[in-house]
Amino acid sequence: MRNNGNGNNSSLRYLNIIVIVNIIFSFSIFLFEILAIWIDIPILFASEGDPFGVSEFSGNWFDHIIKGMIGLLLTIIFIRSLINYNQNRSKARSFAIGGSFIILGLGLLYVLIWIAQFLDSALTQSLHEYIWYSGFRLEIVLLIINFPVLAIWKNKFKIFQNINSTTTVNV
Amino acid sequence: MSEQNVALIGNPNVGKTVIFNALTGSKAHVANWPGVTVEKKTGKLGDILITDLPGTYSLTPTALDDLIARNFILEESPKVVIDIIDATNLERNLYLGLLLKEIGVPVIFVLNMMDIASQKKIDIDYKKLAEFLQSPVIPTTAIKNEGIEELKKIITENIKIESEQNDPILYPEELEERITRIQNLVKGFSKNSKNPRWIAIKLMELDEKVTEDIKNQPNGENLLNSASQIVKEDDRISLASARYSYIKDIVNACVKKTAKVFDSSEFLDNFFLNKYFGIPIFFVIMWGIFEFTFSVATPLMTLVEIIQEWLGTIIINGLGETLFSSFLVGGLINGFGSIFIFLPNIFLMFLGISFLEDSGYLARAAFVMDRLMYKLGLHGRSFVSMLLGFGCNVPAIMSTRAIESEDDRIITIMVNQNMSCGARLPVYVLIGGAIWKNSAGSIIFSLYFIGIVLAIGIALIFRKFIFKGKRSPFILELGDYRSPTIKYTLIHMWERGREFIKKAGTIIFITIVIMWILQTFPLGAEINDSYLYKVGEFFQPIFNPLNFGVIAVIGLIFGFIAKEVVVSSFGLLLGVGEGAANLGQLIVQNLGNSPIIAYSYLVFVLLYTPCVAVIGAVYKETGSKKWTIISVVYAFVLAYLMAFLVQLIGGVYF
Repeated sequence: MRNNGNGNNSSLRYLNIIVIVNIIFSFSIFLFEILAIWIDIPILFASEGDPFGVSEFSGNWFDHIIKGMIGLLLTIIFIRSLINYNQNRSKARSFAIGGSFIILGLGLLYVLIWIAQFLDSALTQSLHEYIWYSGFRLEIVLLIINFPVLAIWKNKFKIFQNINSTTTVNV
Repeated sequence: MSEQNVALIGNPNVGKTVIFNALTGSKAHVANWPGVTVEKKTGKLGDILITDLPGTYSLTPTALDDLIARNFILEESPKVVIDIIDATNLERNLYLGLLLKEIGVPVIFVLNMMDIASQKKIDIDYKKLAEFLQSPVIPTTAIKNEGIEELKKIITENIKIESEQNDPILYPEELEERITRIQNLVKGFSKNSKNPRWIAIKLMELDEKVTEDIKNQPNGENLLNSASQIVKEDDRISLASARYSYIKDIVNACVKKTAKVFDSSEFLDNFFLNKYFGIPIFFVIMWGIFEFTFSVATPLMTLVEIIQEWLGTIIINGLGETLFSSFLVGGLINGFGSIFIFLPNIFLMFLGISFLEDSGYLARAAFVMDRLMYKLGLHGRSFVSMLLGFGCNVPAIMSTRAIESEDDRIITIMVNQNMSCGARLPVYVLIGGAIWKNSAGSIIFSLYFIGIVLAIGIALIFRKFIFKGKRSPFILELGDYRSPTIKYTLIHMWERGREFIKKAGTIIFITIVIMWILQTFPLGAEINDSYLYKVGEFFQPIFNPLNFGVIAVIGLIFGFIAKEVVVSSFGLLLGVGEGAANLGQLIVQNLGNSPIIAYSYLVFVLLYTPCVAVIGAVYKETGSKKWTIISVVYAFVLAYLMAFLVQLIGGVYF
């Protein structure tokens, strides 16, 4: 990747684009999960015909809250990265790459979960059903979009060495 | 003590244990954070006994682990001391080296993490460094096994020769003059004193241990009085400044930074240690670990379940319906099977934690939590122990030895059992999986979260009402982030997981056999007439307000011995011939088909005493019957109150 010595190269431009895309997608996850809580609410009060009373406290709403909060957190992290861009570029990059790492970690987790569910379906011979009903995940899209960040990080020494860090961590 | 005795010493997190493992072929626990070694460990290199000492900065006996290191050097007189130095941070690490030279023990300096030093373009002239220190200096990258063979050779050579004792530090004249005067006093006091200069320096530093030792000897008071007339108030600072000034000279002469490089750890810390995002990021990462633990283990659990059913069928087909086959299938296979089915969960959770530990993130987690912890009454170092508690509470309680303040130590020990250990995970997975299915990961995460919040809350109460003393500051060295190696991550996972298997083969096996006997006799009786059921019936009224039935109570009683037995007891009483999924549903039925009662049961399991081994560890570490009893009683009361609260609040909203 080309480096003109100011940190203004194609990799960094891609990083800027990723930040914008991540804001849109993270905020979408937040909205979808909040919507999902709202959809799940009627289930909380519908216990008839449920032998185990499972739907009384399905736990789904809790899951949606956590995922929604993660979406919101990531949105704020990427917005902070944008805000910091002109004042403290090193910090802005840290937020962009750190946030992308979190997305990559969670995306990888979903891939592993998908594989695990696939294997479990194979073992319990419900493979056909699983493949039929398995859905499209927003998290996977985010994983693919953020994947090139790993390449940017791998070239970190070339790309970031000219960025003056103004933040030090006192331990 | 043997003549062939070698000690490994160094600052925390410089790779002592990696070098110890490489030298001795041991598999002691290693991690990318300080405070892993809290007690000395020994291993052999041929005929040479090697002792790995806890990390220490200055040999000043402030915390228990520092004291262990110092006592070993002074009392066991090792033939050679190997001082492991972080090659990327010579300035700080050499301080301990100079103190060792001052004691007069023969030292071999090991410059470890040379790979990182090279990445950071730090060029060390280690031959010149050896001249300054008047001791051998060996460069190594222990994690890649580089330099280990040379180190072995140097150890074997050095152990055979009587090294010359040199003191590399010459203090400023004014200090030297007073050191000599006190040294003469010490010589007059005890002609057998091994190193009067060192004792003189320690007296000038007002070292509590040395002062105490002299005080306890005849005429000791006289020596202390005479010395105190020579010692000046700021001598301790003057001595330290002189040492650092000498270190600066050494570093200027031996170390060159050939280029300014991008510091990736500092760059990432901008994000992971951020004042506002650090804590939420930590919780997101922990949530990811629990999702991983629960979801990815599913096919492996199914596999264990299939094997378990297959074994049961073979035994019944082969032996027929006899008392012995009933013991094998109903007792052993269902009892053990209901535990072993959760091995994938346990190993995967330990894999996740080991990954975080080796990457250097867990030390950061302790750092980001410190601000919150300090406000709430806990010590930042406590959080390190609490995180270890996610694996097993026993080593976690032992790790509190690194905490200097006795008050902070006892508070940390008391709240550590609130951290949910691996043994409690099977109970959550079984019941959580049966009720909340795909959302079980988040529900399990909520239990861990409750554990952390309550630990902090209880610490606050202890701090406010019982331990009102002065609090010690939290100093934690954050090493660089590293890519975890597959080898060490898997070794760590195995080390932690095998404890679970070992426990299954000993205490859990005995408990299951006792439970099976109590459940089977009187012979031919219905389950409700068995001795086991009668034990449950006797205690059940205590749990009436919590709506826990007899079988659930039996689980809690035997769970006191080891938490894994909670699941086995359900397996024995409900799950004969049933798979784990069905067992979960049967448990839910037993808990009144109520998710709220089930959740309150999980909260109870989370909060009451983890196991008898923890009680032993609390007694050993506090040395107090009073605190041991308090730890058991408060855990039970807290568990009861919280379980009741869950039902009370749950009853209103659901």
